Amino acid sequence: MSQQTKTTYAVDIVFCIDCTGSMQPYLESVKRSATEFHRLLEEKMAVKNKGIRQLRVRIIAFRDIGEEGEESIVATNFFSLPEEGTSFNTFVSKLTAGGGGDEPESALEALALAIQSPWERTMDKRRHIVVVCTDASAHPLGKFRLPARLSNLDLPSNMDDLNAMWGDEVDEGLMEFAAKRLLVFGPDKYPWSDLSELFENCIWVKSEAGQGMTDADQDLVLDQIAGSV
Amino acid sequence: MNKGAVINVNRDGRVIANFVITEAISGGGKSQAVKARSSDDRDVFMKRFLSPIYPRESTDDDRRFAKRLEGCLRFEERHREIMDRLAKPIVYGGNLVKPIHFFREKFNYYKVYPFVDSESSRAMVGEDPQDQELFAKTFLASLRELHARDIVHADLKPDNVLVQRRPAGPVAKLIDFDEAFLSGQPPQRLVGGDPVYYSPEMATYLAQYTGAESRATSVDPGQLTTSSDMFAVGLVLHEVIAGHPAEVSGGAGESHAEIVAHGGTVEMKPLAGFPREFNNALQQVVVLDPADRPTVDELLGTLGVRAEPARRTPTPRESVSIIGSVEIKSSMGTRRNRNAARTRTEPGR
Repeated sequence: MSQQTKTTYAVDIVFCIDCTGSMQPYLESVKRSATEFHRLLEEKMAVKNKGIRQLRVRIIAFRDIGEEGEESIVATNFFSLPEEGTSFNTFVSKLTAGGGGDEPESALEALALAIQSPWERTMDKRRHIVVVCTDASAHPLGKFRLPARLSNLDLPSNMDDLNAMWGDEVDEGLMEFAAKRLLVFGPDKYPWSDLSELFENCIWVKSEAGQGMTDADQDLVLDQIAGSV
Repeated sequence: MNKGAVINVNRDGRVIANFVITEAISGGGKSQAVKARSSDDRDVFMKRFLSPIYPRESTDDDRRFAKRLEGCLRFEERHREIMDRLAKPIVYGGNLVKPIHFFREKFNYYKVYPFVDSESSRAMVGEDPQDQELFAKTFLASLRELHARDIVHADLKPDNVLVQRRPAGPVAKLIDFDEAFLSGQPPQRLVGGDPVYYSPEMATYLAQYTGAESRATSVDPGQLTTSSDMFAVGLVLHEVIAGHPAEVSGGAGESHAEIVAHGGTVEMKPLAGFPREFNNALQQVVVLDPADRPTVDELLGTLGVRAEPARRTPTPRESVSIIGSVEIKSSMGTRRNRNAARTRTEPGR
């Protein structure tokens, strides 16, 4: 009996989300779409006859280590969606925008944590996607230590070390070359323009500094994720 | 940031080499694309490759620098060779949207294509059978131009076959040669293309880089020939003319390639209005053994297009036109040494 085909992927996504004050509109958009995230992504992939075999999502919410200290970075485990949708929604609903003081923020520390995520490494056709959403510049690495509860993780001391951690075709670092994608939604400020030129498999979409992100941006984020699978 | 905002691909977000970015096109896959305007006021389609990234002397030790440089030179060599071959005069007639520039700006590689005003090949669904046949002929004629040069497109899919409406009817335009390689010589660590349209041998070859460890197998790179494209031709033509992907039976796996590789078959629905010989040949392009698949000439023959022997034309010695930044052109027997390459990499230009 004949049947249709569908190529499916095991997709891991880590969202590094700037939760400082100006990001309030984007956070509200994330909350509204959290319950629908699996369906929305699957719809976009279905257009190209692709599907999701397994979807796991992790959130790393960050502000400014210099301002908020221990509370500046909060990282979840991976949520399997849609199975753990309730727990995922509960976490997302508690995200609030605030603090951060003046720029810059601690996005690079969040990115370093994202790279060290427990990625799926056994399933066929897998994608490991890190999405950074911010409207601010980032502190250079080496300026602060990680909060104590995250101190078991490595924190590179500069951008070169972070790049080595991300890896390339020659030395994979901690990321699998064929699976990894880095999507940065950030302003034309340090380090986002440099990072997009120097990190392999990185796409930078410019956001307006200090202007937050919007509903439309959330849809663009989904488009970019679907395009990266 | 608003939806549709310019996707920036360089520091200032506006100018790369001599091109002014005018519009975001897409992101994802292995490149980031924008519409841009050239210095002679033409619209172009420009892609930034997400990999490889040219190494920086300041941050890499000698071993790492040398290995990364070697990978970049292999990448340049493959693209230069493909562009050289594409630059040869048309042999049969076809509609290839050929790349016009390939260059490196600082650490990133870019390729520029003419901007083509066209629509998706998916628009062929429901068209008059005569128009569908014209589309199929021009698609295959374009592919014949590639195969006559021993080039495997390696990323045939509906999105890479555009349609241009002309007085004579809808004509196919074949685009995107970023994954192309010489027949039987795929690049190491090739991870491009779309798994939905892979041939069985392509899927198996790539499993060593993208699949689960248990499925990692080795395939002789020499098996990845122009016949691999023919498998995709069958899937693409069925999808854009019948309006849905071809169904499968038996075997195991998710994609057509996996199912065929595991003993199943692709059930091509005969395309209404096409000659029976063509539909028979189309069924035959989706078989497991590349040697059993009809060639593009044979497929065209079933549509009444005579297969002519290739007329060899002289190869231009340096046919690749490069602008701005770092030239990437025919080296013709001269290997760049490391110092030469470093000299060309002046950061902060």
